[in-house]
Amino acid sequence: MDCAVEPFERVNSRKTTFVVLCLGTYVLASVFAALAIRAVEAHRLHFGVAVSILIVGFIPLFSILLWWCLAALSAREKAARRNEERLASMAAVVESSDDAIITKDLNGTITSWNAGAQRIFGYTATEVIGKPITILIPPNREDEEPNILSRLRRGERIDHYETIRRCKDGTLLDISLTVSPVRDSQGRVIGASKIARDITEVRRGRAALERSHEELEKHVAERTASLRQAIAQMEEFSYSVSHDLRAPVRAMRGYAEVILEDYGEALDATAREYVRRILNGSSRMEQLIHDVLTYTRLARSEVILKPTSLQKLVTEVIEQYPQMQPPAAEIEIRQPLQDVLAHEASLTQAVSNLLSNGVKFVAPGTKPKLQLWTEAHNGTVRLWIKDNGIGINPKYHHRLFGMFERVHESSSYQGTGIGLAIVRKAADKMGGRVGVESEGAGGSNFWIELAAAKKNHD
Amino acid sequence: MTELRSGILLVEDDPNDVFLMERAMSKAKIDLPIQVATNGEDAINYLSGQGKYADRAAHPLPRCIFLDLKMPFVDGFEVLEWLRVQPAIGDLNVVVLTSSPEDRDRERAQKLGVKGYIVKPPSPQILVEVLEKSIDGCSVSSTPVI
Repeated sequence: MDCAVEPFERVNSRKTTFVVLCLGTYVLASVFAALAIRAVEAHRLHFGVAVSILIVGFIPLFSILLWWCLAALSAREKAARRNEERLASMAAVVESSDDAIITKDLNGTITSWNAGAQRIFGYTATEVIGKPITILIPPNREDEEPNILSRLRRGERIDHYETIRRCKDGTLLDISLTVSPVRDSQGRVIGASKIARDITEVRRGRAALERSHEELEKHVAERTASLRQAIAQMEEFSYSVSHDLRAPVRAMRGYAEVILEDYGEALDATAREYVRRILNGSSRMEQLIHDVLTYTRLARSEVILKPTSLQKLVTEVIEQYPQMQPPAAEIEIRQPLQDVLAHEASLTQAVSNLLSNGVKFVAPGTKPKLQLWTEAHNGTVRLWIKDNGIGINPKYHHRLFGMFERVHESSSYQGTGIGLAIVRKAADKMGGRVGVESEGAGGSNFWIELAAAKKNHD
Repeated sequence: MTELRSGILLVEDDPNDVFLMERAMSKAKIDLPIQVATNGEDAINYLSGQGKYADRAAHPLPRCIFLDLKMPFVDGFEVLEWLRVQPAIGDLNVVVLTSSPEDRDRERAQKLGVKGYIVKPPSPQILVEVLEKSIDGCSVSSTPVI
C-alpha cells in the first residue's frame, strides 16, 4: 500500500511546478511586452526591437514548456488511475475472500475487517474496528496473542497456525491463521495482516477419516480373529478326524482281517467274499481319511523353501516303495536332475504320489516303466515323469488335479481321487505348477515345475 | 532303588484297539504279559501302585508302555508329563500308539521323551522292531538309552 501512495504525491508536485512555470513565463512575457511598448513609445527603436525579439523567442519556449508539462501531467494521471483501479480490485479481492482478512496494529487493535471476517466471526466492521483482537481469543488461549505480537515485532511471519477462535455468539471455531507483518515506507513494522481460515469442516473431516480408519482397523482385527478361529476350528476338526473317525474304521478292518485269518476256513466262499468286501471298504475308507488328512495338513502347513536335491529326494522315494523297484517296475532317471527350491516334506509327498500313480495306472500285465528328467527354463526347473501307463483322455485333463476326481473306473484301479489334488496343493504351496500331457493312450507325461535352486537362463 | 520290571503296560481306552494290539503281539510271537490301563488316570494309578494296583507282585512296573494319546479324563500327554516328574519310577520306555499322524502330536511326544511313535494299527513287524529296541534299552540298570 505504501508504494501505491507515492506516485500520487509526485503527480501533485508536478502539477504545482507546471502552474508556477506557466505563471512565471506569463509574468516575464508581460514585463518584456510592457518594456517593448514603452521603448517604442519613447522612440528607443533599437531597444524596442530587441525586447520584441525576446518576446517572440519566449513564445516557442513557452509552447514547448506547456506541451511538455501537459504530456507529463496526462501520463501521471493515467498511472494514478491505474493505481486506483488496482487498489479497488485488491480491495474487492479482500472483501470477497472466503477467508477472514484482518489488519491490526502492534498493540493488537483491529484496524480493518473484511466481509469474510464478518461471515466467519459474526462481528461487523464497525463493531470491531478499534477493539482489541483478543475479543476473538477464547480465555484458555489468551497467552497466544502476546506470543504472536512479539514474533511480529521481530518481523516474523506465522504460517498456517492451527488454533481455536471464538465467534460473536461464543461458538468456538477451528481456524488456520497466517499472520504477516505490515511495514511503513521506511520498513518499520507497524501492524499485521491476519488471514484466518475456518477449518472446522476440514478438522471434522479429518476426525471422521481417523474414526473410519479406526473402525476399519477394528473390522480387520475382528475378521482376522474370526479367520483365526475358523482355522483353529478346522485344525480341531482334522485333529478329531485323525483321532476319532479312524477308530471305528480301524476296528471294522481289524475284525474283518481276524475273521478271514482265524475263521476263513469255517466260512463258505460267498461269506468269505463278503468279509473281503468289508475289508476292502474299510481299507478304502482308511486310505480316504489318510489322504484327506494329508491334504489338509499340507494346506495349513507353513512352507519354507530351501535348495533341495531332486536327485537325492527321488532316489529316497523310490527306495521307500518296493512297487517302484525292480522287478515290479523300472524307473530310469536321466542324470543329472537339477536342484530346486522346495519344502522337502511337501515335495517328497508330491513326487511319491506322482511315482505311485505312474506305477499303478498301467494296463494289466504291463510292467510299469517310468522315465524322469528335468528341464531348466527361465529360473525354473520342470521335473518330467513319463510313464507307459493307460494314459488320460485329454477331455479329463482339467479335472485331473481336483479333489475327489477320478478318471478311471474304481473297479479297475484303486484310488481315493485325492493323490493329484495333494500334488497340486504341494506345488501351489511352493509357488510352483503341475501339469500333464497325454493323448489318452500310450502313457502320460506328468510334470511339476518349481523355482531353480540356482539361477538358469536357458 | 531298582525294582524288577516285567511285561508291557498298554494304556488304551478303546477295547477294539486293545484286542487288535493283543492279537498283533501274539502274531508277532511276543510272549510278554500285557497289563491294560483303560485311561490316563488308570495308568498313573498303576504306575504309582495306587488303589487296585497296590500289589506290585501282581502289577509290576512294566518294561515298556504303549500309550494312546487321546483318552478320556487324563490323556496320553498328561501321563507323559506326569512321568517326567516321577523320580521314584525312573526311566521308562514309552512308545506312543495313536491314531494321529499329526506332526504336532509327534513332535510334542518326542519332546516329552518317548522312544517310539506308532500310528495305528500296529503291524506285528513294527511291534517287534520297536520292542527289540526298547526292551534292550529297558534294562534294570539305570543307564539311560537313547
